[in-house]
Amino acid sequence: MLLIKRIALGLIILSLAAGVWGFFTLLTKGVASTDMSSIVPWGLWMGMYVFFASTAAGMFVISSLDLLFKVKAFAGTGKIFMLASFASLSASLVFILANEGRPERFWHVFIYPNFDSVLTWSVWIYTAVAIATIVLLVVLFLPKSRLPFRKEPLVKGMMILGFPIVVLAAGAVGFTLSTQSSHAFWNVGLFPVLFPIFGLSAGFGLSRVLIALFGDKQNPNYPKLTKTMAISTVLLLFALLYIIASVLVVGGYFAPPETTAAANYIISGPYWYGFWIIQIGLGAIVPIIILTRIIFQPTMNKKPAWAITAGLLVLLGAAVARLNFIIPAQVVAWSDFEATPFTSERLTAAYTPSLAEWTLAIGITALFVLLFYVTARKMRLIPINNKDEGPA
Amino acid sequence: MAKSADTEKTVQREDLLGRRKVIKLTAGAAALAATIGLSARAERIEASIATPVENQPLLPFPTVSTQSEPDVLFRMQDELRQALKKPLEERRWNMVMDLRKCIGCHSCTIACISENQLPPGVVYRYVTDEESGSYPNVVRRFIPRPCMHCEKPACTPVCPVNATFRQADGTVVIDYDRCIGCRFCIVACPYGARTFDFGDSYLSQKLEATGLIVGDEQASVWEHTASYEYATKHERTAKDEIIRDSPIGNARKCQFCLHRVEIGMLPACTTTCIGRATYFGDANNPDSLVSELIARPGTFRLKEELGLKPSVHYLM
Repeated sequence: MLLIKRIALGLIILSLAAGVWGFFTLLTKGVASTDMSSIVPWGLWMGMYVFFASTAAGMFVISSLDLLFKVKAFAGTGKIFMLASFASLSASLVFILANEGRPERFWHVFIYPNFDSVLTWSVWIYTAVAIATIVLLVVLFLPKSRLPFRKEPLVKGMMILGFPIVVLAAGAVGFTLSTQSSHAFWNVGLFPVLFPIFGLSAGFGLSRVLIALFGDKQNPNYPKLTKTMAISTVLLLFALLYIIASVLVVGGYFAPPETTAAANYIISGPYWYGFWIIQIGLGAIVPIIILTRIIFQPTMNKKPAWAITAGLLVLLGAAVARLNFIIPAQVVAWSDFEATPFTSERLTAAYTPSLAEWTLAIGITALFVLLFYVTARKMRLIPINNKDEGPA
Repeated sequence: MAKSADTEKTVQREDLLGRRKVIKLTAGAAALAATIGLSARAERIEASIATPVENQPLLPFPTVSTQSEPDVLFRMQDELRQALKKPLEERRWNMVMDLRKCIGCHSCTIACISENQLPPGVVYRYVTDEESGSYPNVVRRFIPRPCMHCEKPACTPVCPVNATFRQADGTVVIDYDRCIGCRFCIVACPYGARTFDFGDSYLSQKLEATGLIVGDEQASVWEHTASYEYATKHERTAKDEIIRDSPIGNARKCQFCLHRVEIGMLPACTTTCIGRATYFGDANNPDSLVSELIARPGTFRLKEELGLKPSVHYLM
């Protein structure tokens, strides 16, 4: 275990160092350090923003199983899942900030808001979620004696208020894409449905990793908790596979040419392996197999490596899925430019994230993993005591 | 009216007489050639004896007759100045592109780049060059593509900070000082009319031997010359400076050269079009040239099915 910890620490340090380089490059060169173009103006960072934001929403919902719905199997997990939700949300906001051409003007969204814009709603909703999460965390972590009011009704009330907002937040990115008539592939009603499911499955993936790493395996609740999580994740993954298949089959069978082109780009384009091998194979099929075995062979729970692998793969699949849905639609939308004499790198559909994009993405992820771990340790949330403690 | 009809008749008569004269001379020459048995050289002789051009009465020919008319630019400029006398909200700037006249020279694109000091990767007006048909029936079609300045633009409602909007004269503009560079408008525009200013430089990928590149210094000077879009001075910040001035980091697009239009000048693409294929004017004036052209049955707008009602029209 010590070796694993050392390896993890080494990876975190390396990732942070890479992130510092990426941040420095962004600072000195601005968005010119990216490989994005006017054809593909949303790339890796936008994908990561969507991934972390919807994972945060998913984690919020899962934490509500303890904090709001009082599901026995999830007893005692609410606080750490809420903290993970906050870490994920913070990471997403850093990504969207890095993605902006003029990040120093982020406050314009609050003082010059355009409420016709889905993006304004997204930012406002995510900010509301962030504030609600901070307040919830403060209330959850403060001892009862220091609060001038009763803790349980307040937490419940905030969760009731927060729950629909979080569901909206999870769908907001889907709405952002699906309201764009300029991109026929996105312009379907399924996207706002698809993204919350992605968020929830990623949330289950992350919570599964946390439980496997820090859960109290001796606790009588543990097998029940892991089984419930495994069943939920498998069901969500099946639902995702079904929706993805329907989007691509309809798109590939008979649809506007642009939709068909995007569907074909995902299935058989230059990054076909990102879809078939990472998103579908590693991100869905392998976790389904592992988690199904865990459901039917509870003894596998004794080896957390299985659950950690399954959880991480679900997260990986969810992250790659965002890129698969965001980038190809942009690549095929501007075929007009192919008929122009321009040869600029910023007017090409070819997009591969630059080194600065990768390093900053890795660095931001590592930073929030580290911050989460340190805070969780400081708040004594690790190891997770998944006991039914009664009222929060 | 009667006087001009008479003049026309006289011209026609003179033309006819001229033609008869040419025919007579040609026939005579051919007869002479046949007589002396030089039929093989007949054609050359026929050519050589033709009346020299300067002495020949010219046949009415479209290109010649239009030269006597004033350039359409003058009419458009007059109408532009008339429109400027009206309040902003009573003007409606429209553009018409006659695709039969466009020869794909890209001079409008170059003029636009020069006028607006556009950096690499930023383009306001590109011209698509499409080839259709198969040999020997091959056709090339050129379509200039500026911002469509839609009546119901897809790009403005998505802007989270109201930085891009449709102003009273129908022109869709960007407030560079408010734009946060989220690029949502670029994604939303179905015409690909917006590009992002990444802060790139034409000289960033220059060859190693800097001093040997002719024009390198001048290019640098040009690149850092301020642009005057929206009648505001925009200095181009050096690429290595951490704080970059707008429009670096902003979405950019054609604004119908408002900085020119507002002082009575036509957009750069319109004046530069060598085929006079681009027309610009006030569509709220029913007598304007653009109104005349828009009313023609062969006029269409791109992607009209989207319902965005572009202010840029095409003539086929």
